[in-house]
Amino acid sequence: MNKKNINNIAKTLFKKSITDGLVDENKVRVILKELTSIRPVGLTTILKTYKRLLLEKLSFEEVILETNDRITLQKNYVDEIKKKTGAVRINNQTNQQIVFGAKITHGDWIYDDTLESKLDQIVKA
Amino acid sequence: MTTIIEEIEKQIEKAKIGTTAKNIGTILELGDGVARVSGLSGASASELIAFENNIFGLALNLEEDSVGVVIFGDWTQLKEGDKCQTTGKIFEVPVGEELIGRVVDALGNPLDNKGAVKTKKTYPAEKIAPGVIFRKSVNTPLQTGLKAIDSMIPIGRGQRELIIGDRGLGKTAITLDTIINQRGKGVICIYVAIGQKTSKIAQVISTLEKHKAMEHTIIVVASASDSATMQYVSPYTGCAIGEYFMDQGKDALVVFDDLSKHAWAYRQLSLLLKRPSGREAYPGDLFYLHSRLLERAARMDEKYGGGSLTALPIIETQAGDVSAYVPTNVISITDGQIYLEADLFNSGVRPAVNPGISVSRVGGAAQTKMMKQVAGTLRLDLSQYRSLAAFAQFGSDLDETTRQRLERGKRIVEVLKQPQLAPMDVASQVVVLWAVTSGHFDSIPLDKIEEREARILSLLEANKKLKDYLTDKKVIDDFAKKELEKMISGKVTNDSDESKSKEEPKTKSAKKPLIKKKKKF
Repeated sequence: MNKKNINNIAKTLFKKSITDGLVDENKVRVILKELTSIRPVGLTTILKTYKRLLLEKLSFEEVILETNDRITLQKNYVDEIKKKTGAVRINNQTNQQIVFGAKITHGDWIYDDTLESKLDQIVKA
Repeated sequence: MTTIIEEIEKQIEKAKIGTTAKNIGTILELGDGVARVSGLSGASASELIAFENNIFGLALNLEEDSVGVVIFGDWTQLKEGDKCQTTGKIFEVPVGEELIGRVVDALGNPLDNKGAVKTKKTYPAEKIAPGVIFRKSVNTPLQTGLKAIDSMIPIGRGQRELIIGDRGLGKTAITLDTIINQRGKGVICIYVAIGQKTSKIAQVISTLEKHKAMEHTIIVVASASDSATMQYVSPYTGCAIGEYFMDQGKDALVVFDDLSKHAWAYRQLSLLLKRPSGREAYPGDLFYLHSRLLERAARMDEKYGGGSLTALPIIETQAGDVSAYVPTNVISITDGQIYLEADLFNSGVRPAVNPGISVSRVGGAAQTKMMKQVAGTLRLDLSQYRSLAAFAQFGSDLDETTRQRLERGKRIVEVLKQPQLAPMDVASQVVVLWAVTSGHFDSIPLDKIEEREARILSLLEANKKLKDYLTDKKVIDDFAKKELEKMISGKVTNDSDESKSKEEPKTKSAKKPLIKKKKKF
């Protein structure tokens, strides 16, 4: 099976894993079970591509908020972020490398408001 | 102290520090200078993508779940899984006067060990060509210094004239002659070497340096050893540099040597990017690749600076096949073509221009009156010679008129021959062509034509009054005709130079009536 067909299979499986615009965990489980039982040619490649597509989709369903210390966001801020990004979850993470400020990751976008970023901008300016 | 703090605060304010937004991606596949990247959902077409190790790429394919990026520079330093990010910029190249005399790569980096190129401006490599409102029709000639071209296939400033022919027929030589001939004429020349052998590029640079032509020339190099990406962008870089000078109201000339190799590089990139291939495996947008490049050559209206950008693209044909995909495309885009023929080259006609199928669609409007006066007769005489020569092969019994036309044609062919790297000024070209079309060479044996031409040129050099008259008036009027007749028949009338020319042996011999040589036939 050529690469194009493998990609097409992975994309079809990915599309079938979505319910209401979100990744459906139950559907993914069923697809995975069936796929491993059939064991088509190029299974590993199909799985790799399928995994990548799922991770990309999941990264857009979640907003990662990195700060130096754990913070609790007010509800109106949470709602605002969810509304603006279309994400369903906000994941608070601590990052000791951040001295001050915050870094928000949503899908392939990174919004950086840390001190490091600001210093970097001053140096470049 | 307070002042210093205030100053720092001002600087911070100036820097406009805020939240940065980065759009990142991950390399999925990498090979042959092309990367497939996941992420980069915010990338726009032709946007510059920054990789690690200060390597940049150009987003060419925007697909559903990935982006196809062609990489500038050493792609072997990258690996799968490496991160990259969008820059929000399109591909730009440094432009400016500082580039004159320099040899740069397709990104504008110096290659000549003369230090950094300190330009103040950058121009986008890809730019929409000026519209009709900004343009003006071609009206100023761009002299190549070659008799065969300036007389029969004239090129105007702002024109796009294709030079087409097989390998080794002198396509590059014509462009080098043209560049050398622009010395002191205020035309900035940009020579773009695409996919050429490095040894050939070195030879070109050395030739231009030897003839002091680097003083008004910029060389953009994307040699055969450079990546297909660099070869693909190099003509756009050269064009952007030329556009800068055009925008300054200056005249610029850009030579693309050659667009066949450019098409090959683009085909390579397109196949690696998995774009659907068409005729001869070229992608479907091959025509647009060249049309958007050559359309940028323009003669601007005075209201918009009045500058010009002339383009001389070169196409290398295979076994004289002008009906191949790339040649037909470029022929249809340009304002004419100079066709070089192997048979002519091998028979000693150099430049091996075939005037029968070479054409300049707009250059005639830019030709000077005196050149038009001689070129009209020249073209007619030459075409009559070509048609008669074909018939004359079958029989020897020719009437006197036919024989005379054949003899005239042979002499025209001889006169149109010109050594390489010896461009001539317009006045000299006109005088020589006037002499041959007026029958002053009819009695000269073919092997003496070159010698006779040299003698006429030396006479013209001595007769400054006539040369200046022709250069200023740009017309062969009754006075000029009389002077030319006098000069060629040996009666030099220039007061200041008469005594000098008498002392010169060449001038003395020129006084001998030419008709006497007829008996040698």
